[in-house]
Amino acid sequence: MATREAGKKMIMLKSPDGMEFEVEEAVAMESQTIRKMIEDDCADTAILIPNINSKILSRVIEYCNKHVPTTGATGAAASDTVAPAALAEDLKIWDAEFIKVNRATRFNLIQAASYLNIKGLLDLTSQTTIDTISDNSLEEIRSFLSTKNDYLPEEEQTIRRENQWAFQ
Amino acid sequence: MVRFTLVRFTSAMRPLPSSGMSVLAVRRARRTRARSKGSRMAIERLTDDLLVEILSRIPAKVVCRCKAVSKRWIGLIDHPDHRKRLPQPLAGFFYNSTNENPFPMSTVHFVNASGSGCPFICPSLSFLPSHRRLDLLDCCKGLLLCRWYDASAGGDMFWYVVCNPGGVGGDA
Repeated sequence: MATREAGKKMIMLKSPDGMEFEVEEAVAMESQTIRKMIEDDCADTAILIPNINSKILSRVIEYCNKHVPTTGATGAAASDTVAPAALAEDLKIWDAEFIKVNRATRFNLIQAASYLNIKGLLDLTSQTTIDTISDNSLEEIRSFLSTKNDYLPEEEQTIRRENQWAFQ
Repeated sequence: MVRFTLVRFTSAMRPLPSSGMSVLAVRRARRTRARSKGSRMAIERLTDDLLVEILSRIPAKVVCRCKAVSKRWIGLIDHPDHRKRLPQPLAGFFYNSTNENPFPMSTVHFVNASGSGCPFICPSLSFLPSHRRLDLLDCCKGLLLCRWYDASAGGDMFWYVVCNPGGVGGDA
């Protein structure tokens, strides 16, 4: 439900397991999906976020809270005292801590970031997977993503031969 | 004497066919099928869409190597619906051979970058109206510029034709 609290518009987000999260509109609008709903006036009641459980949703909100651009009076005060470069550095350290989670949680966060369309969170959460795929052998990629090699040895050889340039 | 004109062509540059609603509907139906199939095989919760999202941020060479990970991966990487999202390697080359002896003759060929297999693009450009001669001139963003000689007209009269060999139509 959209309410007003201390001059800030609040949005209610609901996870499928019944938890409700009241967040500032500006924080919720870090998600392009929710932003679109708000702009289309579809956010008068609580917004149900399907497929994202309360544990993951709370982490997503934590991320958005941290990354929401500081504007208005508080923002001006903050930028007076802290240099933008220091803020960016602080955010980077915070992100590195934030992403220290197990693989299942990370995949859930990727899914949430993709559904909610939060580019920064998607970049952050998918980076480990991107690095793993880019820098490791096929066997290591399979093991990281729990993917079974379902090729016959000769089939794999054919694919390797047809794409030989990519293996050099 | 045989003269070759090489025209570099990447499949990423090929706009998908867009001739009316029926094509769109078919494509959408195909995507839905692919998704439902993928969800049954979902591994560690990384759905097909997310995997494509991640692969779209990886260089073409690595993506190409990833075809050897599993059948699901090659299916996703080679799927026509993902062609625009994923980085594409060079698909192959168009080349034009002309032979002056015994009769002046010009033929268009396409060879896959892998050097083997059925040509990725049909080199006859059969969607173009009937012609007695076709010269390839240039290629840009998946479009070909050709010199097209009408089959029913004689002389040196020709048209410049821009066409999309990866799609279903040609445009003059």
